[in-house]
Amino acid sequence: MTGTSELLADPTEFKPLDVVATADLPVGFALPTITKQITLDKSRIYEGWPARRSRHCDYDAAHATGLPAPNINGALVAYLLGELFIKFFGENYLGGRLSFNLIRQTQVGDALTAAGVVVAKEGEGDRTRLFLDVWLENQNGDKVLVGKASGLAR
Amino acid sequence: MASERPKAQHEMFRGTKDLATAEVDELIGVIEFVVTKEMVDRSVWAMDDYNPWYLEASPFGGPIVPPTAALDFDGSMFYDFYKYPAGGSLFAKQEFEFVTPMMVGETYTLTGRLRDTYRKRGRTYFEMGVSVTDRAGVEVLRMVKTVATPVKPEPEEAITA
Repeated sequence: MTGTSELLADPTEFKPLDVVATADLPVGFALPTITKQITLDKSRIYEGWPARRSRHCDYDAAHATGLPAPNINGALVAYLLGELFIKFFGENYLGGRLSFNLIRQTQVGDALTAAGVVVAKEGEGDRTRLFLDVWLENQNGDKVLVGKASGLAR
Repeated sequence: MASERPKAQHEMFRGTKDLATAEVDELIGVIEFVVTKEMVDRSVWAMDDYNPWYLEASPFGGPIVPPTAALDFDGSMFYDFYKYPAGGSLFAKQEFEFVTPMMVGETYTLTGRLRDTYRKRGRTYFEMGVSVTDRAGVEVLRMVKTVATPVKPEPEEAITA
């Protein structure tokens, strides 16, 4: 057989972050980012469509609330931040805190990037707690969510 | 023949108490539920986050629930108590404090209380504190969810001298 077709990597395989929370990370360190597009199909999987017809996955439901089209559920948007949080802190997400404000709607098809930067470090017993500013921004560079996170270094 | 429009999610909320009568510290609801694999799988598939901790096993034993997935578990609690406002509602803010892992297949109880309410930039904000406990009554997660109404901000009251 002489075929030369390329073997493609599984786009859904688990991808850990290249850098995780360690005590030696300096203030100002920017975490590796995670970017994902949220399609209508993705929103429908999350919402449980068609059994659950919310304004986040169903055009009739969106129209009934005055929206021209579905927008993405803030809980699904926030999931991406949670992914960055637990990949960075690992098991030390326990004892950690995460808070955010949703400041802009996410539309179907938007590509969101989760990002963070270390803004402070504090000793906690013989451990180090890292404090982060975190955010999500869309493909236009507009922030849709801004927040804070903290956790113990690994 | 015209087909009947399917009900939107907000039309299926069961809340009856007017938000104008909301009182700080009142009990909003108590929900007992089992975290099913299907619940977690929907989140994982929706975000292509195939972390083996959610699907197979974690350092805590079996599979755990993604950190922010609890947002889905209390989704209807607020508006199954308060009447959904005519001006619509926004999910504005959220806080999590992670105590112990939530495990797939386990039973948990969510208890929600109104923590605070305030006006800001033409909207009224309502903070709901949620405590998540396991079957032994041990708190595994603390959350604060803030919703705001109306969706379109009202004009600010005239400032008088």
